Amino acid sequence: MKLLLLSAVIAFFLLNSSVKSLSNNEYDVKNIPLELLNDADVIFRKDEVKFAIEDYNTALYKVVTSVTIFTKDGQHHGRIKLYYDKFRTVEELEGTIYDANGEVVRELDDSDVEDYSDFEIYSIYSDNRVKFAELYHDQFPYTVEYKYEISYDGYIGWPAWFSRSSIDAVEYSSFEVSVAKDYKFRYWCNKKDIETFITKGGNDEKYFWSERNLLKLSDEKKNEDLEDIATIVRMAPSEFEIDGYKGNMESWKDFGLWYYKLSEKKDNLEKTFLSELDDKLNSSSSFEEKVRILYNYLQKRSRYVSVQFGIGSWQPYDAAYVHKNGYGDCKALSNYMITLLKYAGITAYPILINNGHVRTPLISEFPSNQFNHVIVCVPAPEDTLWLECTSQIIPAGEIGWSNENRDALMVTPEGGFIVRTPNSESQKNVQIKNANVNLSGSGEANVSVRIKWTGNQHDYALVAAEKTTGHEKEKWIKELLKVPDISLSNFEFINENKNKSEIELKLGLKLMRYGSVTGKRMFIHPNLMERRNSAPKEITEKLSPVRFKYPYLDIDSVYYHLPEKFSVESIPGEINLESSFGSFSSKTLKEGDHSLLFIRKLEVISYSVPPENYPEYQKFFANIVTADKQQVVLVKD
Amino acid sequence: MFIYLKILFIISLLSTTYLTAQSPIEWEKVPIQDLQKTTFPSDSNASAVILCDFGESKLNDDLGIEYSRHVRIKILNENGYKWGTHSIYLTTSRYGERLDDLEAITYSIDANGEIVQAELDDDDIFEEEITDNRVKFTFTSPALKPGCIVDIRYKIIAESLWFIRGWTFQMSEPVLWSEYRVTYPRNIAFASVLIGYEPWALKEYNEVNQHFGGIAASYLGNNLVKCQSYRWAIEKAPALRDEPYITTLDDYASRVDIQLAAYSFPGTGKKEFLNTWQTVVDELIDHSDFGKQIDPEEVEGLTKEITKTQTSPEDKMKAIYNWVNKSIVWSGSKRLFTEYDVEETLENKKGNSADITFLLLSMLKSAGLECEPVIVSTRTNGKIQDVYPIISQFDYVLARARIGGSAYFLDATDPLRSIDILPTRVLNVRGLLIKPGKPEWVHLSAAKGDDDVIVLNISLNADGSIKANLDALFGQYTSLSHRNDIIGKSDIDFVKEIFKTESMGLKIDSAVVLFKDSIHLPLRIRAGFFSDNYSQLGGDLIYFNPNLIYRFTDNPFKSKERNFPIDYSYPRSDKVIINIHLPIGYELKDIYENKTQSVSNNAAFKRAVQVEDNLVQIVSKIEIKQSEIKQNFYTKLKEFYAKIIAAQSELLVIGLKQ
Repeated sequence: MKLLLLSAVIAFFLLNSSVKSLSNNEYDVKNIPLELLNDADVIFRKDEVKFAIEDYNTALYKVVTSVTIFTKDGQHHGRIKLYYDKFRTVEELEGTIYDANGEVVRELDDSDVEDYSDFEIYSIYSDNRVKFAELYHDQFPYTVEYKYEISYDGYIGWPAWFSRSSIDAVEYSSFEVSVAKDYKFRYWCNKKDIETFITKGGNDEKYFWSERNLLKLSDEKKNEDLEDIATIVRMAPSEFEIDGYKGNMESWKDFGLWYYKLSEKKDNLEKTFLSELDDKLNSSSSFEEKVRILYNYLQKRSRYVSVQFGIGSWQPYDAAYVHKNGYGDCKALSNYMITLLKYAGITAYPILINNGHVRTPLISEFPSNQFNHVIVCVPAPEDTLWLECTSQIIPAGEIGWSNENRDALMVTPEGGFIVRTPNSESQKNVQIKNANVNLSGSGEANVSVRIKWTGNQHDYALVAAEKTTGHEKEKWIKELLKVPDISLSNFEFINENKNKSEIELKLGLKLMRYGSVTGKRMFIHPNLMERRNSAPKEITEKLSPVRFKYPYLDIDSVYYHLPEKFSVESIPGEINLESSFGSFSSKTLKEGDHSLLFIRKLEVISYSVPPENYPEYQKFFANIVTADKQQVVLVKD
Repeated sequence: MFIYLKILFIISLLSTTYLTAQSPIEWEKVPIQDLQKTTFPSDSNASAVILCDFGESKLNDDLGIEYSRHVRIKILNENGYKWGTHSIYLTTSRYGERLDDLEAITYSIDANGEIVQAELDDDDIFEEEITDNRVKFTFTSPALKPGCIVDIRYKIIAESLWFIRGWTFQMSEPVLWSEYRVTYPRNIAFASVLIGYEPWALKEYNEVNQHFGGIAASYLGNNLVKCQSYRWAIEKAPALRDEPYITTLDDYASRVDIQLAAYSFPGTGKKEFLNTWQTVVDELIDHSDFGKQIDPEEVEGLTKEITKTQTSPEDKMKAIYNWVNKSIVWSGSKRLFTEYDVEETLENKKGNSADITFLLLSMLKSAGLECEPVIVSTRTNGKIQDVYPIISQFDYVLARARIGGSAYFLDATDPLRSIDILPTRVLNVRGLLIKPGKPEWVHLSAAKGDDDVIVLNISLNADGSIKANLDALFGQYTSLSHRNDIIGKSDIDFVKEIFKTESMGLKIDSAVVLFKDSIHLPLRIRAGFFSDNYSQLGGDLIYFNPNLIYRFTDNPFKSKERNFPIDYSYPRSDKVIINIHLPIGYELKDIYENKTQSVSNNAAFKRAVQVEDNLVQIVSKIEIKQSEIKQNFYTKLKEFYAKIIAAQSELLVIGLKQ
């Protein structure tokens, strides 16, 4: 329906042009190649990006970007947001609206450009700011063009070029980098088949990439990684300088060296401050124990507070500051931890890492800033220890899913080199739920539950146990169990050994109408606490892998004492699923006449499922959803 | 809610006792017993306790306002560390505010039982320019540990009397003592209103004498000046914690709001800024960014063009509404005052809510319709205290048109919303009409409830497989939200999403969404589903849950109790008619009961079942009959949903006829 209407609009413009040849007005919609017009809310007309590198710390980013908007739904593409900070300045921003014939309708007024600070909820202060503008018209189609310039002065993260940033059609997108002749330019491209044009002039060299007439992709590609639908060119400096700190990024070794120098001499803690630790340290025999004592000391003394501005985005506050104020961000707390370890004669190094859900693994062949976090590594011949210093509760040596299983940069006095953080296996990240249910003839259930979590699964429970109030704990437990209308009679977290990544929860609860009674029957869901409600979408063609945060194992067992006068009429059949990435089984067993045992096991053994196996993944979880809905039917004798 | 109004310059009582009360806490004097405490027994959920929050505002020698605050917070555990970080917002426009003398000290007890203190360094106070006139200062107290006390004090100096600050007595953690004092000469009048559910520990008025210097002395003289002094305090206020389905927490916190009402200095004459709602209305009518923005001449040609084929006033109104709604993009800002005039808004093709409303009003006027602005406080901005005539209570303006005896409320900020629907942000609020004559209040509410009707025809086969056809017709608010959600999605994907078909184990073979662009019509969906394994088979029996769609699986209410009303915005009902065609030769083997359940006249659930040959018809309806349900019905309402969930998880038991 929408498609037809649009085509009609476009046909109207095409027919209206008396001359069939292309218009002289650049943004005349008649100039859009026909094949791009299909079902478009917007078409990106031109994305011309130029980056001129003048020397090791200054560069100019010049962009002309334009988009033709066909419908109300596409109007938000007429907005632009430019981020800047101490090292980037927006030099110029112009905007123009063109009508369907490519004639100028209106230009952006300088007074309509808004300027505000860019809030980051996790920082108490940052110097990031935004310039924002928007242009609208009420006659479709129309074209919005923005021209802007951003100058870079001492910056180690240069912008990347994406041939497209959404599924919408693109008429032309290009990227030109000009480099002063004596400067060594470095780039990396995700596609091998795209051509790089290099021209050498008298004073500079030019690199050039472009793509033309990219068709709109189907809706289901919306959730794919950009890496899989666009051509990407990333750039990085060789020599660079921030706030007077010079460095070179051509090798990981040199990048590491730069960071090392930034944080050098930040271990300025007077030894007497730590003398309170002497007794404990002296009486501990093993290296692990010493690390644990110091890590616990850090956890007790400090909290995570982020302040980001200027060189402070890279240079940690020194150890004395953290010791005095009791707070710091990831790099300051890591530096403090390393200082504490040094006091006990233990050597440790900062690790620059990309924390979070990894969509792009570290490009190790392209040394550049690919990091957003710092942790600590304590090398040892046998068990190297890794420390996440921003948490006040996790056991020493645990770094959580957001740091594990990835490449990162270790910073040593000799420079940086790539290391891999540990990965974990399903048997380590376990959740075991055991329940005992007494069911009455009216459908009321009295339940006692014991849940145990280990490894990465224990992190969430640990936060609930240690960081929430009684009220919030109750809420968390109710969310966890996903059973409607729980009344909790008692609960208790058991977290005796804080140095072990293991926690338990004991619960007593009542479910007023767990069984639903009609006539002479009662229906119950044998799967009490682990019902999966939503299945993944069916997708015809998947491009990016599906990623799990970590491999895991969930085991449920529920024992039911059935009411007198009821017998089992029907129980769900046994289900066993096997796949390349994990397995599932679910069964309900009759144990004598008046009890049932439900057992469910879900194990995921990989970190990801390759796109070609998506159908297998979809079916696997869709089948689990169906299995989890099965009910037991009891009938009155 | 108790509301006390005091127009402070009307003095009815003269206090007989004269006293200058001491501040309840002293800087740098933290009692050790406060540090030794580790728990707060009266609220086990508390992670911090505000021991004392003391504030004072008074006239300074520059004829401005000096506001000072001293707050002392006990941090009980690590979750309370967020009470170490504070932000202070200032308005820095001309004659605006500046921050002065900010200090913060953290006190704790060391291993030897001695008090140790750590001071905030000035370098660790961050100033951030949010917008041109708005600045935020942020700092975090050093050396926090469980049990410590954070002591903070600062002053805010305002150059103008307009910047007098109000006070909020309640926080999201318990407050043991919160007090605010305001002292100023009788030449000035401030109006104040006290809001909240908590009883007042102190509500005092006194007269005091005070010397002024500087500019103030040149107006007030060098002698002792008679001043009025107000004192309000609340003791042991419980924590105010967020709950779902409320308008805004600010509606429930105890606070005092203050605004400049008048002043009279020798040479200036008496200047009044606030008397009655009448002056509010009159001022707004003449305001350059409000009443003066109604400009019918500017839009005369345009309006003629748009309404040229319309003859009746109703049709003209609709044409104008539709044009504005479609042509001007709402920036998302809720505003009472315009940023651009009508001409600029027309050119920009965008505007804040006030820009759009005044364009609409100008065009309606130009078409000869009677109309006027209606000002409201949106739901998240808090309730209007109508005994308290100040403009700053309002944050939004919409239009009212009158044709014959009918009134139409118009808000043209969403192209997907038809003329007869108001956005939820202005539902169930009071509005003040801005037109010449006596002030007139109106109540804004949804014109009708939101009623969804769904018919589902299911054919069940002997092998348990099913085929189903759905025909759904949605109420106006559901239609509106669906129209927003469907943007950029195919019909099939959208139907899968709203009926959660993939999770129900249903496949979809056709789906069409009708009247997507006809925003004045209800949205309608027709779809076909099928499934091989939806039913459960056991022996000779088929177990079948007829609630393929609109099945509640979770109770929206989880807390044990609730202190605030449950706000549904508008009444609503879902009616689902399910016809199940059993396989030939099969019958129901167990009863499927009729059900009724209600929560007084607030909510009702009804299920009626009829069986005829191999056709089973189940008609069920869930109704929420009020926009707002009082909190004393909370337990019953929770139970109501629990019963619906239980009813909807019953299975039909189907087998061969005997």
